[in-house]
Amino acid sequence: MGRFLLRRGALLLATLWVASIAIFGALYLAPGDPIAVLTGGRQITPEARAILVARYHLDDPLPVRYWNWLTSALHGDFGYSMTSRQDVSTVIAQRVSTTVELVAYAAVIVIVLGIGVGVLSALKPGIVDNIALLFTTVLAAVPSFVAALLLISVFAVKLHWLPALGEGQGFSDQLAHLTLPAIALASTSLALVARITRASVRAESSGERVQTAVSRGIPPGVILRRHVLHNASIPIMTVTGLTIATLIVLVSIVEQAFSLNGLGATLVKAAANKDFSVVQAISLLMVAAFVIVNGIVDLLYAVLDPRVSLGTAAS
Amino acid sequence: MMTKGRIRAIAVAACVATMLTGCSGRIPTSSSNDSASLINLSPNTPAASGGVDSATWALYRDPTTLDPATAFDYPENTVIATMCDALLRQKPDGSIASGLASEYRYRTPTALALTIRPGVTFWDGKPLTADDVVFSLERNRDPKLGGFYGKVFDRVSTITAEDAKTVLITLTQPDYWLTGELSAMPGIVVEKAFAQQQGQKFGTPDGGTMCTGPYRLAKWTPGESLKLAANSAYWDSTLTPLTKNIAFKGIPDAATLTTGLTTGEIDGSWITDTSNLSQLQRTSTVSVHSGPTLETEFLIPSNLTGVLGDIRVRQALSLAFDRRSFINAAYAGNALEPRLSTNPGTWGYAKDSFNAAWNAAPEVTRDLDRAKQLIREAGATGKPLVIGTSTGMATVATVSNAWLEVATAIGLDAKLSNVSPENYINFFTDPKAREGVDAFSTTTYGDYADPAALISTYVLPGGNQNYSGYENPALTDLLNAARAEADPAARARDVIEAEKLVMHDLPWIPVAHPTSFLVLNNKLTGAPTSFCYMQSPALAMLGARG
Repeated sequence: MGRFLLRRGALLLATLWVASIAIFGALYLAPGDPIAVLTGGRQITPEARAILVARYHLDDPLPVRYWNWLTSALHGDFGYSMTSRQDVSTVIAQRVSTTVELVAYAAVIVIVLGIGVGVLSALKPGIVDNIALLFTTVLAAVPSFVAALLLISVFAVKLHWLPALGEGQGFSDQLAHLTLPAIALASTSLALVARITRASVRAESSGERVQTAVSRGIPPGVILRRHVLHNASIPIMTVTGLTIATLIVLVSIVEQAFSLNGLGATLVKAAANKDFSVVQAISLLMVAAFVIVNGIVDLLYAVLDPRVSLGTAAS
Repeated sequence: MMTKGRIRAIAVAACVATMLTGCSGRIPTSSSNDSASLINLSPNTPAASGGVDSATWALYRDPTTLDPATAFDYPENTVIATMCDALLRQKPDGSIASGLASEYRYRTPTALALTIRPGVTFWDGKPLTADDVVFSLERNRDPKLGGFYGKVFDRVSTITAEDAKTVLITLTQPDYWLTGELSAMPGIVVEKAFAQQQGQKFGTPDGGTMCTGPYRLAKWTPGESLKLAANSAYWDSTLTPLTKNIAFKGIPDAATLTTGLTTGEIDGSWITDTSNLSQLQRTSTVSVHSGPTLETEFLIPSNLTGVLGDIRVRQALSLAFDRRSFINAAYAGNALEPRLSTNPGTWGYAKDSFNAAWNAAPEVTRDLDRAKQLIREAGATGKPLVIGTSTGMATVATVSNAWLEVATAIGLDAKLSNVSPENYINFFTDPKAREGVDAFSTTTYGDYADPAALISTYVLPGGNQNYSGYENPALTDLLNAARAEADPAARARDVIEAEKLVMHDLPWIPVAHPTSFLVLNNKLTGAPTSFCYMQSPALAMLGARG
């Protein structure tokens, strides 16, 4: 266990380091002039320009800028956001909770509804299964930005059930504000998880062990829990883990559609404005979250199936 | 004199809105599509009958600063103008009245004396002094601050506090444009002690600001909202704030904004993106008001060494453009075809003279044959014309395509040069980016209601928007005469003569004079429809509709 965590930690650091170079380099090469963004396209005097360039170290060569960034980051200073004129750590602190809540809410929807629908669909062939199939096919085909527009159009504009914009204040208000975004974010992943769950449960149900158990007269509920679900859980876990990791990536689109003040929407804005330090910090945070979620999935393999050794799972 | 390429998505490119309430194929044109009614728009909405507790107001993006020295675009101007007072005040009709300076008088043509209004306090209770005024004006001239308004003070020699209540501005040459600038961002007064204490943090989310206006800064959470609370001790009883709390929210996406206005989550906005205009006009919970504005949409010839160096080619392009169709598509009919180069909303003085000049100017009628003839006369047939565009910006892409079609139709070898939306701004800032193109599009405005405020930025040598190096000595003389002319009627005569030269020379080709657009929830009224929201605390009039 200790070795596993150590290995995972080293892998995380290496991934972050490579990602930090890639992101910094890509942003450096991308078109756009940070000064033009700062001045909104207004012509400024050469003196004013020089002051801005010096203030944000825009004239330093790429390796120097990267080195400065890296050394400050290692001291916990992630730099200063040129466009929001705040420390990057403040920018992130103000937005991280919205994104975490949104992803967590969507993950709960994916796990509960996805696995629920999948199991139901596997155990009740016929009409239930067909409806579930139709439902998941439609969901799988709808990208989250379209889902967002549809949900807003129906539930916010037409029916006035739920709010369409912003993150709300206080628990119940926040829950109401995040419901439509979480559904939009979860929809595709939910369909995928339901499909995989259905297939795995079907496969396990027709397996020899289950047939034997049925012939021995073991109650169906126990068979489902001990044999079917337990054995089907590894593929389900893999897909659920991966799809939850993709939620972290998709969150930008959903946050923008619902005008949420989260990390994803901020990342998109910062990238358009060439706000280096913000892009760098948020991207790395997302990369880290992605790696950590995958690590947790690996860890759960070992819990579910002792035959899986952590040492090999980590490689 | 500040400008920016305004991102305005055109209706035809915005059927994303179909998802919300359905996009009709035909865009309804305004019933008030005749020129007289678009010239005489009311700058106000009906007065409010009472107060309301709170309102959420949308901006097209988050404000990035509260420092007036570096504010020049819609979000920053709207927010700062609501919180802060300038020395002079722009009224909704464009006229200029007293502000924090209760009196202003040119003692001589080169000495402007400002009397500081007594009894005014900042939000923290400290009294407004002549020192604060001198400090605030000098900030614009301090190159270390990187402010944007240094150039408007180019005739200012000294700014001094004569005594506790008088500030004297001495000039190197007469400058009667200065009062206009003092009614805009360069004339905003902030508290000296506060700004000095905050240093570099002044105007940022960490530092905030300290002004005298009808609203004080309550809480600024970038990305979420900027909250203001009413200043109960506001000095101006005609602008006692009616809405107790205002939250400004940046919403870049037109469809999202439309949703917010429809559901009532957003109470109002002066919209700059007209792509969902006709949809908003059909929404029962909001009303859309048109008002006078200082904005005009242009094609900017930026390279006069190519085919656009010939006046006849510029005239031919202007003659061949189908403005009526464009205005119907882009502004649902709510724009004027330019008989003069600036919007009638800029007539802040001598209105009758400008109106007469407008009526006397030839109507803009499309004449393709005459345009083709001009191109032949200029020997420009088959010569190249490159128009800068960005397919990532719906508004720019649509108007550039229209220009491409026009240029091809009159016989030029026209091409588009596409850049990313992030790089489009470089046409305005970077001479290197302009090297490859002959022209590009923008919507822009001056700081106060005077046609010269905008014209001077692109026709005077060294003007901050003179990208092509255009120069016409007669035009320069007329504008300099206007700037040095104390009498508004005489100044208007100079400006009208300048307008005639501009319309003949077409250093920039005006496309349309849109109205401003105020969208308000039907429960609210009182906010002005006019562009004065960019420079004065007019939002204080927002309140309940009886």
